[in-house]
Amino acid sequence: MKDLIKNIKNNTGIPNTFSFVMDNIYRRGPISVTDMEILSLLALYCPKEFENHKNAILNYMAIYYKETGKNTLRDAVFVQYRRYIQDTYQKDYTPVQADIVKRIANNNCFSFSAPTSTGKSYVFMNLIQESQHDIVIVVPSRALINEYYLKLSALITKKSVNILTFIDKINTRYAKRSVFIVTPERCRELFKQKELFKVDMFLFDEAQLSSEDSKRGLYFDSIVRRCQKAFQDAKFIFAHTFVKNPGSQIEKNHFDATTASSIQYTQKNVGQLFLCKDKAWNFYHFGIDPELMGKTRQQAEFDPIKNAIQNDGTVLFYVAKSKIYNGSILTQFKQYVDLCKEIKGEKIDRYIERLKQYTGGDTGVNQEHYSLLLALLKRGIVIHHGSLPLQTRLIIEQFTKDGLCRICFATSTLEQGINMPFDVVFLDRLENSKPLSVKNLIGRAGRSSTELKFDYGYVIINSTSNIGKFRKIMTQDEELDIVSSLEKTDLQDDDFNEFKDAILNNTYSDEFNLSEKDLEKLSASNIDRIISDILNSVFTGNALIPLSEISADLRFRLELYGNFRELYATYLGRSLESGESNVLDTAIKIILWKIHGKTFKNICWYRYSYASRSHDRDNMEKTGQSTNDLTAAFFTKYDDIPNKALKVFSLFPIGTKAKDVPYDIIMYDTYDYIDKLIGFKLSDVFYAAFIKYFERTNDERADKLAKYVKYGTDSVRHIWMLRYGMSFEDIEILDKHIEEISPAEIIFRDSIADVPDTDKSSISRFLN
Amino acid sequence: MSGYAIVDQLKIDTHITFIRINPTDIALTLKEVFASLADLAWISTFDKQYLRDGFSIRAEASVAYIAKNIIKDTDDSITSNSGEYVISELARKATVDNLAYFDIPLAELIKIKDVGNHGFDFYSKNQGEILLFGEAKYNARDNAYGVAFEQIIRFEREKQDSSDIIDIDQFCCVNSKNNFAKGDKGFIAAFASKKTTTEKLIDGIKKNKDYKEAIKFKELICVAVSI
Repeated sequence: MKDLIKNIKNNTGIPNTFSFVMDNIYRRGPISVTDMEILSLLALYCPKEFENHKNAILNYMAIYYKETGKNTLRDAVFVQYRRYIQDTYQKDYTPVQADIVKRIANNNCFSFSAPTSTGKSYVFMNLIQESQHDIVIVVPSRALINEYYLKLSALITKKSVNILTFIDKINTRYAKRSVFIVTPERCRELFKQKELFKVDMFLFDEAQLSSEDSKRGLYFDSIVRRCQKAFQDAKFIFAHTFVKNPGSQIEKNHFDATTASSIQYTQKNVGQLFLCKDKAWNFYHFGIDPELMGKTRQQAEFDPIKNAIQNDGTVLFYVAKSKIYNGSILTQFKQYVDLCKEIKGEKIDRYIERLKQYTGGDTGVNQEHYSLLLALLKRGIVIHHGSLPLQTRLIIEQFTKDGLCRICFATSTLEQGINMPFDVVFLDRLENSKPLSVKNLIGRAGRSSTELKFDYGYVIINSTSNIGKFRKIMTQDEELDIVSSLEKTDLQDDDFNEFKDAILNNTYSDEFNLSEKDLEKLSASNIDRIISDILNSVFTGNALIPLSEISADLRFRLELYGNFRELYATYLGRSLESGESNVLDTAIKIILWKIHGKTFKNICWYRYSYASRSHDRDNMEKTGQSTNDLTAAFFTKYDDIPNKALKVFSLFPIGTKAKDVPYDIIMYDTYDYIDKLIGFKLSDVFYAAFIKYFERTNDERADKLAKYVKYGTDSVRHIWMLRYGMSFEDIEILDKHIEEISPAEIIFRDSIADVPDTDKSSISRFLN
Repeated sequence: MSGYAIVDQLKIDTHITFIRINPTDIALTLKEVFASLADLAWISTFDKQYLRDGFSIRAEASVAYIAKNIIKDTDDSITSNSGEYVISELARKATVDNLAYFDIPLAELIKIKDVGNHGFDFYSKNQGEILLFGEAKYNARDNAYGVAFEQIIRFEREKQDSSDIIDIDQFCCVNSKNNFAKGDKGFIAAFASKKTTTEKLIDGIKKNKDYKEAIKFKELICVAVSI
């Protein structure tokens, strides 16, 4: 067999090709990329002949969620196995799903890897539902937390089960057990109150994303080990995609090998076709195995992207973040963007309205806060990247799942967000440095369905010259390290080593999420003066000074920022470079806005107004002057700190017109500050400093400010509401309907019955 | 247990043999084929526990059900597919056991055949190192020899035998392949026969136009399976 692409296209040797590929699948299972590729080509180019074999092919693939028939004795072999699985597990599991269930039951620790469309979450959901005690699901990102949360909330309707995205003992009057969905960082809360929980199972999903040579990888391993130590009777499950050695989790975290098991599943449920395009947007088939599929590319006389969009399919474009930021995706993929006309209807309007409310963006080109993100969404075009505010991301992910997305422009962070397949995946870039991410995106091509058909999708690469590189990515599976960073002796930077020592010596504080050394620095009395100055600046008496007063007095403001800088420098043990100072000042400004209850939308508006000099423009327009020559204000872009080498520079290049400042970019940048810098770094540092000061001095203002920094409020009642999973937006609506809130329960007022369901979705589980 | 009994065995010509057999246990024959097919399927390696604990008892039930349909002349696709396996396997066994010909597994156990354009169903090799290509036909209502001979002649014309040799290469000695290359080859027509007597059956076969063409080959074996 050779030149299969050409032959199938030319309808040559079709019977033998069917015979060849079916024999392979019958004997080896649907494990070969090439077999699945051949089947996809046959389904595309020989649909009539495929129909004759379809039942047998689907049987041999053992995708039992499809209702296949039994026409031959060979079919009977697979149908009989299906019955065995049904009898044993009472579910229509595929062999892989059944095997996962079996290995979890037979082992204390089970680590596996499986392709994207295996249906592992269906298995997990069933296990979670059937469990008798607490379950802890650890995922690498908050976007994935939400995905699990939504799925589990829909699945488990019993109110005796808490489904929480934080570790907490709440609703104790009604809840008999809890399912926690947390990141490794949030998981640490478990150890402070371990005697309160009986954990049946720890599930570490997408574990390959947490296994890295960084502080996160180190932290992940430390959490795994601490869970193991604290809950010795629990089962541990690690799930990965496209990892060759899932057993590395067992080895590196020293699980008992006699009660552990690992496997890499390679069975696929969907087929894929591989194409490249030339500069004129002609498409060519190529195969992963050139010996079998042919060494020369074969032109496909159709446009798979156009076909997908026109037939209600979905297309994913994997692009660089810079192309999203500078808008060049719109010119590069114009012919496809133009195919997406505005979608009308209440459903889409509701999504747009929710996003407008949250982001403050608008969809009209001439409006002040014009957001390209929202305008594109109206046409079913989704933008997805790591700086998209989480709340926006969640709405967009629901939008996509709701079938409204036609095109999605995404960066590699999609793997931590939308867990959905596409008909076509177009790779505008192929990064050798991120093979797992690229494979994850490739794995999204092809939607598995319950329809009685062979499902397949298209993967398209951006250039004919990238075929070799692509084949390499497809044929190589990633191997994870079998030695944990906790045991490695190679020296990294001081920060990393200090963190590692703290973890190893058990001196890392769960309460503060800081090492003992950091805490010492933040507890030392030499910072008393700085904190006292900050408190004096932020409070008058026991109340916060109004924002207007801070804004009105420049010197006062600079002094306040200076004190925060000094505090942060004490924590770092060195003075700040000017690039770092700029970033920190902006972060402090945002923290102050947040403390004063400003919403994300408000903060974006303030920053946009400043950068685009909206007051100046207004004044000039009022007096009939042109604003064309007015340039954007200097605007400090988010960057990770500490970083001594950070230069002072503006997000907008010199000469950018004030009126051309894009609202979306401000929004993304603001979220980066709030999420990556304040949320992940600064709030821990400042919270610890203020609380420790409160402990030393009993100055209640410090306790108050600490709570503001950590929770955004100092109200005990509101903090409880947050712990029950309400957002500030929810609190605004629901506060007046709550009589009392405590660890035991929420007692609602009768008026809660009048609140629309959409407004009380966050607390619906606690309504009794 | 062979699963069959020889009812008649006679020579129509020096190079043409007629064998009539009665299946004694269709379920047994079917179970053997079914087990061999299951053995080849990936799920058997994937889930060894199933093979150990779950397969046998279920296979018993599946096979009993299909066998009952074969006996009842049910004409659905699984029955006719299984019926053809039974005919193939019994004819293959009868040739191997009674003529002491070479034992080659059923074609289906070597390679999947393509529906609508498949190759021969089974193979053997006589003691003169001539390869034999077998075609089995099951029909729930009629004697099926006509279709079997028609297929043999058509396959030979389309050189299906040549392409099948690639699949059974591991079972063919050099001499048998040389003989084949010279055109020395034989065929086995296996078919379901109903209640017709052997005499009438042979009369009918002799009048068949495809049979008349088939007699030109080195050896021809007709296996009538009374199902």
